[in-house]
Amino acid sequence: MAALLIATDLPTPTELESTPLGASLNAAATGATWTLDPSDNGVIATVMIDHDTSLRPGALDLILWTLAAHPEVDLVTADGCTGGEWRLRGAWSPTRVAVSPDELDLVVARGRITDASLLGRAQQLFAADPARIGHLPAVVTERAADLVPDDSTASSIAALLTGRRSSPEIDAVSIVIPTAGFVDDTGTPFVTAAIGAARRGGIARIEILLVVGDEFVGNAEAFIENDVRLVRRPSGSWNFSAAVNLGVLAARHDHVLVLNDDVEAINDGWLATMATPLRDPDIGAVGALLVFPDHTVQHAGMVIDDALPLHCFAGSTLDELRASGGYRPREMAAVTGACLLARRADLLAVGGLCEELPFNFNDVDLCFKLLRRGQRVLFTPEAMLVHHEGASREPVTHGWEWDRFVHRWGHVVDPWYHPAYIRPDDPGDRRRNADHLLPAAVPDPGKLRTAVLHSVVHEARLRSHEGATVPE
Amino acid sequence: MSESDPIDTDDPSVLRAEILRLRDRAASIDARVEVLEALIATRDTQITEYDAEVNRLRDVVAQSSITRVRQAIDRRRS
Repeated sequence: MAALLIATDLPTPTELESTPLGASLNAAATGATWTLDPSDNGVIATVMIDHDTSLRPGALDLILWTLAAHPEVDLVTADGCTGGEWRLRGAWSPTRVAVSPDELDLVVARGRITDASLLGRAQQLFAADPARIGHLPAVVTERAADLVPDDSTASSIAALLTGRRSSPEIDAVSIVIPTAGFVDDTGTPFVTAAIGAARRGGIARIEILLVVGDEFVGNAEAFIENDVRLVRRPSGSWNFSAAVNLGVLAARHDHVLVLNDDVEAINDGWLATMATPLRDPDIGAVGALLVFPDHTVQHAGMVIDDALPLHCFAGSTLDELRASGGYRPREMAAVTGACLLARRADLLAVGGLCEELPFNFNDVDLCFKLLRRGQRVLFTPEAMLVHHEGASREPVTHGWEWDRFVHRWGHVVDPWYHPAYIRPDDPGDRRRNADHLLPAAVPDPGKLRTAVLHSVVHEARLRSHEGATVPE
Repeated sequence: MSESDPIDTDDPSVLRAEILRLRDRAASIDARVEVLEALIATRDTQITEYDAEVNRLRDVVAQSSITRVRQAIDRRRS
């Protein structure tokens, strides 16, 4: 019989007996194939959980089966239920855990672990290889209220994340803005506000590179100033990726912000906020919270749903975003190229933006390339800008673009997008992504997920995979 | 010699842009390999399933009454 060590925040088994956890453990132990005797030296797993959290029926069996079936992972996290509401989570996301330690309500480790405190759990996770941390998409715990760590524990967990930032503060950024010089209703070029936004970013040294071509409306030279340069692109049809790549090649600073010309700043210091996490060498790209002029969400990170990249929470109000947990900084599969900060060296190493994707999906493609290098992609809601999406270009996605994207990447399984989410099938609905539309019933346990991107075959697009319909 | 081939240019900016494109293509090929490996695995599974189904149907046909009738006719003819 296998032995489990249940490690809680209570010192004695007697105290544990009268708690929700004690009751659920007693129920789970009936007829089980494992024992809770921690004195057994053959402990195969430590279940680190709080005394006021209970385990749902069958939870321990499911977790043990998961550990046995997945020798490639050492640590398992799962979903929970708090106050009757499900807390469905993504794959391992250190940034999200640092701001919401309640996700540490249950951590199961292979073998014997002694420190079951919140900080101890966080230390276990932060020290592990991300590929060896699995997330089981299943609701296995119940709590009356969110886990609230004391201030010192919360700050210690935040310090774990900060400790990963080994490079010095970023004080210089090249800002690449491809622009055709289109004007707003008042006749003012959109790019004027974008330049203003760049200057309000809170970075001491910036250079602004306006990438312009023959189609530029008006006199591009008029924008040249001490901190603004023009990069001329060769004549030819518009290609956002090629324009950005020209800017990246011309950039003089080590960090590059790709910025659309139709954004405007709301607050000062937003770029410095984006730059902070990039001091962690494992972070490859950072994206911002973009809102429409009415301050509903335009971009709060991207998820991949059935091989289709979607802006999650699009159309939500900021209050809705906060209420649904979308306002938290977190690791994601992709962020929009409308405002994306990265190291110039990383951009050059992966070949910049894919020029075969001239309008759409080039940002997702870039993020995938960074993820495949082992870097993480981060969404930072504290950096917020207004995005007049489509003001400079009609926001249309063509079928051939998605074909080309799927041809390249197949059906990418997004580890940070919970498989239980359901997307309404209305392409005209701005809230297409169902990140905030939870399933009606308790989700069935899905496959164990790690923070690693995998491509599988997209059956519906099999012909595309075989190259039959993809323009080269 | 093709005038449009970047390898023949004297312009460093054209060469740098071409290096970037080739790096992107290399990354794309890596991703494509994974997709094709997944496709091969899918096809292998399907072939195995089809083989099993063909063998099952072969057994059904071999044990069917019409096959026995045909075997009897063949024996009489011979």
